Amino acid sequence: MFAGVASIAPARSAPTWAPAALAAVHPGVQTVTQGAQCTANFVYFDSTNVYIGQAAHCSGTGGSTETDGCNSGSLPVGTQVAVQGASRPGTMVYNSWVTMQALGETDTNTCAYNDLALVKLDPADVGKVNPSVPRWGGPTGVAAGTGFLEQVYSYGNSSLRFGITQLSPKTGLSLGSDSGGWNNTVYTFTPGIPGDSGSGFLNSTGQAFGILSTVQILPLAGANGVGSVALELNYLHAHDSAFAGVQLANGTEPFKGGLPL
Amino acid sequence: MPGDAAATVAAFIAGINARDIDAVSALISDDHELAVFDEAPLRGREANVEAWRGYFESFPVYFITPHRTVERDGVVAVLGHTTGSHLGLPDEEERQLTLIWVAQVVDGTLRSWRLVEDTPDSRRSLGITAP
Repeated sequence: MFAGVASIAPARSAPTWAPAALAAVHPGVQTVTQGAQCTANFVYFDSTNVYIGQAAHCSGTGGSTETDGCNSGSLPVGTQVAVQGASRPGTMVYNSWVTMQALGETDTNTCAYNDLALVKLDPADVGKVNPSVPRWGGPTGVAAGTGFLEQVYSYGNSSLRFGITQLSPKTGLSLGSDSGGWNNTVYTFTPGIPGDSGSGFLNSTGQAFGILSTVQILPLAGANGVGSVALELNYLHAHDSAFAGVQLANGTEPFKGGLPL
Repeated sequence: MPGDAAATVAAFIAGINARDIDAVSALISDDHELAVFDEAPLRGREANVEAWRGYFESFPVYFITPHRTVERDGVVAVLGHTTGSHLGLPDEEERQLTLIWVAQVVDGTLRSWRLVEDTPDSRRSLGITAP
């Protein structure tokens, strides 16, 4: 069901990354798209560019209730995005909502959960990038999904969290994959906030499995919809040849989840 | 449904970690019982809400970090550690002191919240396996 990312995107050597301790641009930094704040998930690369990921809905032009990517408005590809730690704005070069609407996508789950945008970093900032997730390390690859009650990990640096850095590294509990594998329902042990949107999630072995798409307050605080990054990448590879070689970058730091940090 | 009790416990822990007394209060049943290791249990919703309110005021950076969660018949066991508690230890020391919280969830609220020592016997009886 989940075609391996590597089978579609031929592996190539990763760029030379900045040391993790010194990198200004990494998973979890804030992005701002025409005033809308989100959190970057993972670093991606191909043979010529380095990208940072955010949720497609971060450039949505509708309200917070407009979450169907097949009929919700979006800023166009080419929109500039401010990236925390970068000296120059990045450029949104892929947006799953825009692509789905151009293709006339109709699959309900795909429309609801395919929520990935790629922001190409300015060449001047590529040397400031490290793909490791702060605090947790990894990612160690890409996972198809999560198991029932699997421990999961995330990191967000939203200023909407009022600078309480204790709340930046997050752990949570997944109830497993649903919606045809497109969604993972995750309960985090700290409440989510809107600025967390787009955050990346690691599974219990440090593999990237998802991107925070929806933060729910009801029925229980801490409920999150986390879209499958494997399926989002498969969609990207299958429907936009310009990005056929894009890969999610593994971290340079070992995964430390499960340890008493 | 499977997972509902664990989700309720996750929300309870999220409320504690956010020092959100309203969120914690909403998940405590009227007949709630708090049992801290071998201490005498504290019974009743009102008493427990006041206890949490006082604890948040006294230990404003108290934080629960779960490592592993299991659920069986409405009983949820969480293996993890705390920081910022009444123990007054440096975080790096307190993180080494793992313990187990055991919650009984009935109709979407916690009927009990028990703190249990992390021992091989406790893990075995609660079904907590190595990650």
